[in-house]
Amino acid sequence: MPNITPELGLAIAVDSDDTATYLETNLGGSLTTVDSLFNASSGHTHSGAHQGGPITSAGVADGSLTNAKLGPDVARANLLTNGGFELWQRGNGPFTANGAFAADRWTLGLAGTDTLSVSRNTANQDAGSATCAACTFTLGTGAGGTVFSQKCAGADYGQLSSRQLTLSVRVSTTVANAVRLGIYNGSAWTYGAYHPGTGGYQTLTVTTTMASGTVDGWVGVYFAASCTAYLDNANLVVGSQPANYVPLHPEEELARVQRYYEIIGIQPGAFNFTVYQAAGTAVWLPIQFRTSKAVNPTLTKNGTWPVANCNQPSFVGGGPDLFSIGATATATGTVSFNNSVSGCTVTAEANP
Amino acid sequence: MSVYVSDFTTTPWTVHHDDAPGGAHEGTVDPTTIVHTKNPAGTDDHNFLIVVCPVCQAASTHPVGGGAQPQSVQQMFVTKCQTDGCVCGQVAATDADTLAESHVRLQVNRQDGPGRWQLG
Repeated sequence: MPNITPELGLAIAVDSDDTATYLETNLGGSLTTVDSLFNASSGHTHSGAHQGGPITSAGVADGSLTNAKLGPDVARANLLTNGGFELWQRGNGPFTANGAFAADRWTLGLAGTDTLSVSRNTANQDAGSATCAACTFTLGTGAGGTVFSQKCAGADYGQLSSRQLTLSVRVSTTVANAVRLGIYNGSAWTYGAYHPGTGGYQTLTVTTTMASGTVDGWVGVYFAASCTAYLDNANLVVGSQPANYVPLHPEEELARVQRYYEIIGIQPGAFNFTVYQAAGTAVWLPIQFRTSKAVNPTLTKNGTWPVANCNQPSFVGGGPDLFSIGATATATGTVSFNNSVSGCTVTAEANP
Repeated sequence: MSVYVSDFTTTPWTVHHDDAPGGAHEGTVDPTTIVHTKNPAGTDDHNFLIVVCPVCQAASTHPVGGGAQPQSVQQMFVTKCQTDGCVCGQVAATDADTLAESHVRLQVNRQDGPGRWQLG
């Protein structure tokens, strides 16, 4: 009996048949014979797929798609806080000081005599977005070193060691070679390509691999020429491929920013405390943060609170999860304090 | 929001209120007005210092770990400890500056963990 080829199951002739004319037919018939043999031996019904037809999901082995094969519309977890520039707990700006926070978790870093003004903007945001960051930059002696950035502290992001990360940000500007992305891996910055200045939003990207160990990472938007730029939808993902920004549920987004900054008593009059107390003794009211802080926070009492029979409230102790506010009774009797006056709040800020 | 010392080089110290309502502002304070919080028992707590804004009277209570401004706040604790000693009694004003710094660094490590120390 003839041997069978391993792939298509074709019969191989033996002895003198190897060189003899064995099967003689027209071309169409020959190809049809081969096709039928393959189908019969493998069970495959390709229906022309190997001639350029579509590859369906059934044709892709489970677990075989790597990160490098993913398109940007494949949603992946965003490691940034407030990547959409949607939350501005410190106000709408403009923010201009070196080191100041503007949108939650995003800070200004000025180089040389450069100036940068950042404001919340609801007129020039990217499609599907509610707000963006409007940045007005004037080049001085900074030579491209001015940055609007977010820190990913190693002590806070404990699982980024040696991981490859890709940052993408939607940027709109009409000035070419003025805006680019940078990412710091704990030892060096890597920069992406400049925005072409064509106006309208473009997706800028940059990729790096984090250094090993517990190191601080930074992501930033760098400015090298005077311009106005609108920033929106920043996304930091694990892997070599950028991913489009996908908004979080608002509750989760708020919880993320409150890990670092939280305002208690936003609504005037919401905070009221009254107790009967002996003269000269203090009373303390423990308050739990809505979100545990990254580190022990600084607590700031803003405004002059209405009080009765006590001094201005102050704090005692405190930690990442709660704090205590209280006051000392001037005389035996009812002690009270409240935040009924606008601006009377407590802020907790923790910057790892 | 936080009120923090932005310049220790001259007395009085320069204090910055970085995101005060209406915009950032700054002024000066006498270092002796920066005091520790009280424990419920009424004793000073060496883990917290209060800085009052000379402009708007907002008061920030900073943890020794640094809170909102780790570098500035840790420096404030070190400088206060070197000048006044520590209220816990472990460091006297006459002790070497290095002892004060070591004491504060230990406090920082205990509060926020090793790696939080921002000073050289």
